[in-house]
Amino acid sequence: MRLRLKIALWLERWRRHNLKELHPLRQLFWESTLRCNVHCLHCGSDCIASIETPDMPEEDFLKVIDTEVTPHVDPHEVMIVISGGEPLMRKDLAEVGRALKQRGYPWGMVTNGLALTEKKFHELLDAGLRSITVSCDGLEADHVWLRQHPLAFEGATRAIKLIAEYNQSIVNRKSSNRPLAWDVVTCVNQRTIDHLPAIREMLWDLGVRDWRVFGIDPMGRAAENPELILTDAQFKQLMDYIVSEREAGRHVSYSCEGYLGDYEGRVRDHLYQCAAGISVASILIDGSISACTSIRGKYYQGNIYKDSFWSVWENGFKPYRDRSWMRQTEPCKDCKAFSFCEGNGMHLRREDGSLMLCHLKRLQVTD
Amino acid sequence: MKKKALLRINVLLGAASLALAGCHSSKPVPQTPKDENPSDTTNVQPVVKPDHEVFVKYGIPPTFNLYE
Ligand code: SF4
Ligand code: SF4
Repeated sequence: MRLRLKIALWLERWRRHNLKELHPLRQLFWESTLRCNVHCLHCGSDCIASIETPDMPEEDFLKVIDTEVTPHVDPHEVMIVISGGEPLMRKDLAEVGRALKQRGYPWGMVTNGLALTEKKFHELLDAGLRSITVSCDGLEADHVWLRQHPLAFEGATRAIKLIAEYNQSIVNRKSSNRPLAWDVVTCVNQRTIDHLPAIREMLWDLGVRDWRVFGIDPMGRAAENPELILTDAQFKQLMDYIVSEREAGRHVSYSCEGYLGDYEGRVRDHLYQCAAGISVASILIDGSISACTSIRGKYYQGNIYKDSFWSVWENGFKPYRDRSWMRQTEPCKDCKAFSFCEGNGMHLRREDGSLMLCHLKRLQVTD
Repeated sequence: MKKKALLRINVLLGAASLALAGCHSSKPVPQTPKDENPSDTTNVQPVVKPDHEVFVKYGIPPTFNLYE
């Protein structure tokens, strides 16, 4: 490993250590609904259960914001991410957004785009939408296959065009409106790994300039479908692809998960860290207090219907802020990179504490 | 006091580690400018966040400095 990178990783470790002590809340996810208008093959949630789970009432969420969060933070610095399911399934999404805007919170969402009509988009912009991520998992046939909906591709590309045109219009008019922060995410799988250059070209033609590409983790429905999960060699291929795009000056990034050894600093804008429970919290559909929404139930820290959110944030989240317990587990026990990785992302820990996957090992296998 | 010191140290550590690793420069997360909040009459000039942030897997992109 390059000496400069090694020093950078040590400095980052020091920074992370301080950050754990400070644990400033920066991103608050709200799992507002489990309902969805598509039926993705790789989804982490169970759609049958999702239909039966009612959405969390707006008032319950806003009560936590007003009584538990706002008194302790500068709202302008806490991003509320409305997640799902598909957030656009909520009829009151703009109303909730407006309430957050009035309180000074920036908010954003991740969407499959299917229900993002022009009218809805402008309604959300008026309600203070500041950031949006659209999922697009490949060229038309592959996207439709993964999303299991014949109009999924049309929906995603329409949404992408709408956003790109909106931002372009701001630049053209030299408008005082702020552009939206946005990007596209793609879950790469065995069907799409060889199509990345074509997908990139398609997205750039639509106006995308920030693209995040992920692998699919062996959880939820994806665990039963090996075609969805990249082989080790394909994972390395993905890393090399991202490096080549970034060297060509295009902003393509890998997701936040996984310490990547020599690829650190080359495939993301930052060095690896798992921010769950350190600057990221969530309120889940049943009121559970957690960090990223895909983290297993064992690591939930409380519930807004019986606990004070802020006191949980301040005093809970111990397994997130002290990850030495991960050092007791395989394969982290003897890992020389533990100081930099600290046992990988929280969402990759099973209920029994074991690790689903080590990114570094995947890369080493293929070396 | 300690909090402020840690924040300052972290700004330096963040900048140094990113520069040494050759990462793209960090971009602040979207924020709501204070003048957008009707209940806030102080119209404080927005500040760029001192820390670089990590964007979680299905989170929000570190795309723009919305404070320009
Ligand atoms: S073995 Fe554990 S600590 Fe080491 S790189 Fe893999 S996940 Fe990280
Ligand atoms: S739990 Fe996973 S998705 Fe969340 S910050 Fe950590 S690595 Fe990223």
